[in-house]
Amino acid sequence: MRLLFFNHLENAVESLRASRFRTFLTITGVTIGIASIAAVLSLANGATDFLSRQAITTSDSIALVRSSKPSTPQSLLVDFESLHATTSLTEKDATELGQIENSTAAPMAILHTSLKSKDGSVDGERATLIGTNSNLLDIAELELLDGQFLADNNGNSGIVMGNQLAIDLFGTEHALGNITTIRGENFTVVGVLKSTNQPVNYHGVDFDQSAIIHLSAIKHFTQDVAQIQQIVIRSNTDQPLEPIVKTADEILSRNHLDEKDYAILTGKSITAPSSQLFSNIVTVVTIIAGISLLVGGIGIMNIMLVNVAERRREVGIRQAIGATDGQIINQFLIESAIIGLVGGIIGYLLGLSFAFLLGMYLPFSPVIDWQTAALSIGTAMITGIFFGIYPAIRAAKRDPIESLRH
Amino acid sequence: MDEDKSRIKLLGITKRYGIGDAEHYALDGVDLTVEKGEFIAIMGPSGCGKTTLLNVIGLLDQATDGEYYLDNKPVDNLSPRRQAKIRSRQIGFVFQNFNLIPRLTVIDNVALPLTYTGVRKTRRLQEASRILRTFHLGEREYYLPHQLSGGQTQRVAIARALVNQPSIILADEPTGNLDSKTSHIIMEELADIHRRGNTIIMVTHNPDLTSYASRVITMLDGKIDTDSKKDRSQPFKKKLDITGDKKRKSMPELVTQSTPKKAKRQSARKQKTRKGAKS
Repeated sequence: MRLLFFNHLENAVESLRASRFRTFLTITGVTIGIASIAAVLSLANGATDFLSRQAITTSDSIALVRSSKPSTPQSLLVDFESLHATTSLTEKDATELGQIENSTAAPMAILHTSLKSKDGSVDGERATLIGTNSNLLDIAELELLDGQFLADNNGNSGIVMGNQLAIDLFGTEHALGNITTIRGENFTVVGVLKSTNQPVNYHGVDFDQSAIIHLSAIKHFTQDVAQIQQIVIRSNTDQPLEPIVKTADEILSRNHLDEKDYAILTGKSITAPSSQLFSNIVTVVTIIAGISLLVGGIGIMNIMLVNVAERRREVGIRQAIGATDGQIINQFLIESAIIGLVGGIIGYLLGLSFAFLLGMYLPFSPVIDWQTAALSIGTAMITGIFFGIYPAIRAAKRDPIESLRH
Repeated sequence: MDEDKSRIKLLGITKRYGIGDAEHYALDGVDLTVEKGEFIAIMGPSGCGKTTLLNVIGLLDQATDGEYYLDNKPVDNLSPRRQAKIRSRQIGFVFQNFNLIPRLTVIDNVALPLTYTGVRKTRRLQEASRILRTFHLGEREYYLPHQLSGGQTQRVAIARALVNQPSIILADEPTGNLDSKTSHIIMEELADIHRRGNTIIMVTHNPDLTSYASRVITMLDGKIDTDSKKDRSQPFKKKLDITGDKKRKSMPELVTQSTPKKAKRQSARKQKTRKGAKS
């Protein structure tokens, strides 16, 4: 049997080579299917890694207070706007949370508004204005490229620019001292952030596209009432987060008169909504990629049927000189399995290179792991065999006399 | 002894096509016993069931009714798999239109039957090469079938039929696609194989060629019409008995070892001796 396997293998390679162009087309069909699956999977793995890395950095020391308790993790993301709508958190909450021992807190009042400079303007859809205090620099682990961060007692006309926003607005990241106008008020750039290159993070804002001003300054834009969407609390180094969260809960509960219109998120639940939604998206995209594999599989079946019809006489000859049905089936199955396997390997490599190409424009890079390789190449081979079964059986079940007369 | 030597025994073989009004008998109760070492020519008009009979004997076709004993074993109710095994080990086919696989080289075509008996590749090629040399086709080993003449192609096909050292060779109009000169060359080859002790059953239209056979059967409407053993077969049978005493298990090494002795004792043609008959 082992001998026959090698013989079939040799035979299959021979007959595939005999019809090179057709083999090439069939393999291309499988390749495209597998390439898309491999690209999606390796990018998805990269993204999952990326998200879980954040979960690790946040889980130890960060607690997030958000207004209104979301019913499910999804609703938080699906109703993303609710994050930026009127909120139940007050300045008083922020101040009192900031006084908890062993921790620092920063409120985040988020406003989408346009910024203008003498060179141009950036509208509210692309720019985010954040009102906060001096603690945010440490809490969000931001780094300054130039200048300094906001100081709590230093007037309200300073603004810290995100890296990309500075470039968009002033044409350079060295924008210190420039003046930008927000809703008629002038702000002087006192600092420019280093590029974070993390558009997806637990704060819900992309700091590269943000401008940061003091909470007391952003109040002017909202009728002197701070619209604080979230308060970030970070425990001091080596201090457990749990007692702090407990104290925070007590303070908020007291301030809100026992009304549970806020939520304190810690650890994984901060990233849960995004990663869960993300894995849903991955599933959907993988299924769509799977459809192209299905098309490739049908292509294999089609070609194998043509192959079987074309080589009907050969099958008859082989049967006449003593090939059993099983041997005929094996011969054609090995042929289609080879198509699948070759398509799988090429597809995986192609998909991977495509993923890396895309990765250059994405905040995360794809991951090479053996699971994706095994999954995509294995799927390709199984597709090859599965769609080869019917043609192979059809070849073997033909009447040899009829086949020889053919 | 006579009973043991019967290669093929057919009892009341019937092959029916269609049902009801369209019922038609391709074979209608054929009784036939073929003994070891016979060269049978089956004659008859088109549609008399010659080829069907050959296909039934070759286990390519299944009789509707009747009993079939091959080497004294019933084979008519075997599974397709077992029948394929018998085809692979005991039967060699030669066809009118040669039926070589066009994309395989001559040597690969000849070696093909061996792949289904599980012979290793090197061994297969050695064996195929050896048998091709006996047909003077040693220099054509790596040609493709379409690069050969008709006679050469048929000789390759005969070599393929012999490579498994089958008990019976079935030839369905082996000269049907060849001109008369080449036909006689092919018939000489078959006669030669016969002289070496092989059993051959051949279907033909050409009455000239029956002179090579030891027994001529004519068929009509699915029945055996006449069956005549020819005198000419007698000397061959005697020769066969001589070789039959020195029965060798058909290992090629043994053949080459014993060839020189045999060559002295028998005609020069025996140089090509390859003992195909085995029990």
